[in-house]
Amino acid sequence: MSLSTLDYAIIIVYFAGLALYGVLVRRIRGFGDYSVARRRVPTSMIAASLCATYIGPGYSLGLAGRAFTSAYLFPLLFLGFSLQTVLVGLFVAPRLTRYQEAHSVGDVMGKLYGREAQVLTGVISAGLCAGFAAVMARAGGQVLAGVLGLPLWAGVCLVTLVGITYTYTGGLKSVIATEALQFVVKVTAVSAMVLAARSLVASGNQLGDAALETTWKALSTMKPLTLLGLVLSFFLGETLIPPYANRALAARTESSSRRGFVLAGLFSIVWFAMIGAIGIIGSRLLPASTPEDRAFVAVAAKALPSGLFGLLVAAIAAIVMSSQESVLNAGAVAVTRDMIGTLRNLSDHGSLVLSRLLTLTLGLVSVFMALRAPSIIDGLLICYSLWAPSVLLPLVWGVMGLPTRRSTGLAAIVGGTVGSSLALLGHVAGGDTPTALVIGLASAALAAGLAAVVTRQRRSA
Amino acid sequence: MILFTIVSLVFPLMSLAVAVLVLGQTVSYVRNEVLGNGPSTEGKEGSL
Repeated sequence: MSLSTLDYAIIIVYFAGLALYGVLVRRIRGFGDYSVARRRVPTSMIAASLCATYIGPGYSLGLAGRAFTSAYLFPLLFLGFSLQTVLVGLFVAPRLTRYQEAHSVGDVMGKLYGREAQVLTGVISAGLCAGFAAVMARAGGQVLAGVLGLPLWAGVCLVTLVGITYTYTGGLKSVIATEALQFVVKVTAVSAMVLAARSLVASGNQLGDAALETTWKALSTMKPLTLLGLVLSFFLGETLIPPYANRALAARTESSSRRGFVLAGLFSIVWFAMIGAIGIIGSRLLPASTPEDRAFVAVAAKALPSGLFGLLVAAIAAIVMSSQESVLNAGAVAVTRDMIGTLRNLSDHGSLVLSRLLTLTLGLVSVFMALRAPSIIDGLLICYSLWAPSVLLPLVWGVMGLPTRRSTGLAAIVGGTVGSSLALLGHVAGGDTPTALVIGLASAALAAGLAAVVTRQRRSA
Repeated sequence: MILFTIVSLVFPLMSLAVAVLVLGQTVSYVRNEVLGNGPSTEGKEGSL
């Protein structure tokens, strides 16, 4: 997995070009640029930046690793994300774009359910974004550590430092411009990798038969409730998480929001198929003892010639950085708007300065979390099981125009958070992560239902 | 075999075409919105 001189040259050219590009596009005129890019982002950029955000370590290195061990199972489960993104694009994102005063998910929740709901959403959003940033930092750190021979902590710090610098200076407008460019690099490198890897396998038929057998084997060892949890996790886990919701808020029109989400959802099908193919090809080329999170890079090292491998390493840096930039930006905006902004009035300049400082803080927190994070997919599943049960249900309910009450919104957020946290901590269902999401969703629905009944009885009394 | 060909040949070529399209759109976005040069992109929602 060692790099040639040409590989190093390509990596240096990539980072130098990115730094130059960064200097060009890092112009910020206020908090509106930082949080929602002045709400002037067109369809193509919404789609590209959504793709660049979801194509993080989980949807590349993590998915290839799971396809390496369980063939088609996880690529098929990931299609839940594709379906969700298309459905959100058709029905929810355009409605979210109508909240012209909102800068964050918490702002929208505040309008629907009151200030307490906004603060709670801010706390959950910030924690979630730090968690996602930690998973990404660990994945990127592992790759850097493997390729450059660094210790893990140094790789994690290096990756996060670059992410913080970009987000600190840029904000959403520049993040979107940078992400679109990084999307181009990732897609080019991974497409070249798939084309090169296919030439290493003699027969597609034999590979397909073996993959089918592995899939059934993996499926048969899974409990039904765990499988249901996984289906729901990939369908709901990333639905309207703060970085995605911020793109809906940043869209120029409802139509650009709709089309941006639908295009991003459709492209994810192509992406998951390609990444799944890399993992399955890897199961033929690599020893079974290869750690799953290293399968992607190991296939690249076998398939790509000198120079293209350097481009792939640059693409992995892009994969980590673009997703990390988005979650750091969204987390900082959530704390500024939903937590501190609800307690005191902040000027535009004050919000901008505060957001930048919070970006730095969240980045540092994510470094500490990264050193304790589990595997990429397991880390993502923990984040999913906290988001979907707590904020997603009341958010979608309210945005779709259904009747909202302060008490039911709060009950859903608290009930979902408590239910999934208890399950994650092992007090319910033995700490199985996908099951935690199912339990959290059930708790949220139950708590909201109870709150609705109690409120109605009080009113009628 | 057909599925393998689609996933390992057609999809990568399609993705490369998408990458080229996005690159063009990015240059346009950076010129018009980020750097503030050139004509406004208002009303050009039809592309991509």
